[in-house]
Amino acid sequence: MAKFNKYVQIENKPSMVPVGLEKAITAAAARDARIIAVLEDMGFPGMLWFKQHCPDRMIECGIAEQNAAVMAAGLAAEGFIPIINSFLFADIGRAYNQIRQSILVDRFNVKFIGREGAWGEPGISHNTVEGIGSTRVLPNLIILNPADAVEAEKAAEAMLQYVGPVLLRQESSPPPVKIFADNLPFDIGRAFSLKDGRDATIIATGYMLTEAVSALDILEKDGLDVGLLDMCTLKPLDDEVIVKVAAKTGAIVTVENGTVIGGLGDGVAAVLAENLPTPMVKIGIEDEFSQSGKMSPKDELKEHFGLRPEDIAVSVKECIAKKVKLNKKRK
Amino acid sequence: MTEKINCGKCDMLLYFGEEIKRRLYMRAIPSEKTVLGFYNNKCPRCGSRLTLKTVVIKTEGRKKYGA
Repeated sequence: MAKFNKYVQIENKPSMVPVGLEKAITAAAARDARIIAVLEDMGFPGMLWFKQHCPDRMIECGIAEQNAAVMAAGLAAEGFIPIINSFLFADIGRAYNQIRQSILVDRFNVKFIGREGAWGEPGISHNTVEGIGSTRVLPNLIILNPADAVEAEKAAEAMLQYVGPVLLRQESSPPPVKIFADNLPFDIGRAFSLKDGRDATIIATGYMLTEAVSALDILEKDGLDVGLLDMCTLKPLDDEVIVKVAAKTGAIVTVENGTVIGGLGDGVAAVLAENLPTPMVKIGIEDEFSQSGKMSPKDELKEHFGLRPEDIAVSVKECIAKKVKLNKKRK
Repeated sequence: MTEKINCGKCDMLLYFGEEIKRRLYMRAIPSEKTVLGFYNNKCPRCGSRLTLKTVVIKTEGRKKYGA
């Protein structure tokens, strides 16, 4: 197995993001009576666990996302810290204008937890893949996309400490493996380097970090020394580290369970285009909607969209080939 | 143009968003001091006192003619 830094503690057991969120949010809500849940008809996979801890601090708005957004703005204006939880297509997509006008313009302290990603049978309507692209363009919004339960707990803690609007993308995905040690340091806006490399760097976000870790094993067997960077904060991106790893390895592969247009890949490409043009390959959903797929005996969507470790390994090799070609041209 | 305000001691991000002084209308956040006030002038992570001298304020954007 590849040699990782000290805060990485990979265990081949499920490490579910909602578990980390529940831990952090219930602890924060116990300390801070301003935290209030605003739900949009979300029994599952919403925040019904919050009901056990704070039954008097939940507002169920039903399928009325625009109302929920404006209600959250009003609560925030009165000093509460509302957390809206729903599928991302609903809590952001259906209430895009209300969020922009009533929450983000005044930078109200509202938190969003939005579920999306290409996985399983909910299909084209519920498992959207456009969430990152459609929200990265909104000023004043921070976007987080944690990879496992540990990082989700740290990200949710940081989200509640920060005063301002934050979207935490809770990915619809197979169970990620445990990647991080419990004492992982977490900073909004800082990428986390799991492993340094020499030949190329993979920059992954959310669940795809699990697939990227497996890809490293394949690449190592092929004699390649590839670095891995976890980009939990999708806005603001950690420009400094992106440029640093690009300067070191000269080949960057981005990996996300979302559309590559406007997502992590485009964000990284924009940073490199302005600072250090570097050969890249963007792995993600390529200008398509998500769809329904069976999860067993094999994960149909992962295969369909090319999000398996083997697919990542192929792209890393493609990217290294681009780098070699470019270096020859420059000579 | 975006602006970031970080704690000068532990680097915690305290503000990320539009450059505060460039907001012409609807000035819900009139100054950096207001942002520090959101945190009661104390970093929630390291506990250090937040003043305009103890935080790091950075703005990002392209250069403009005459600036």
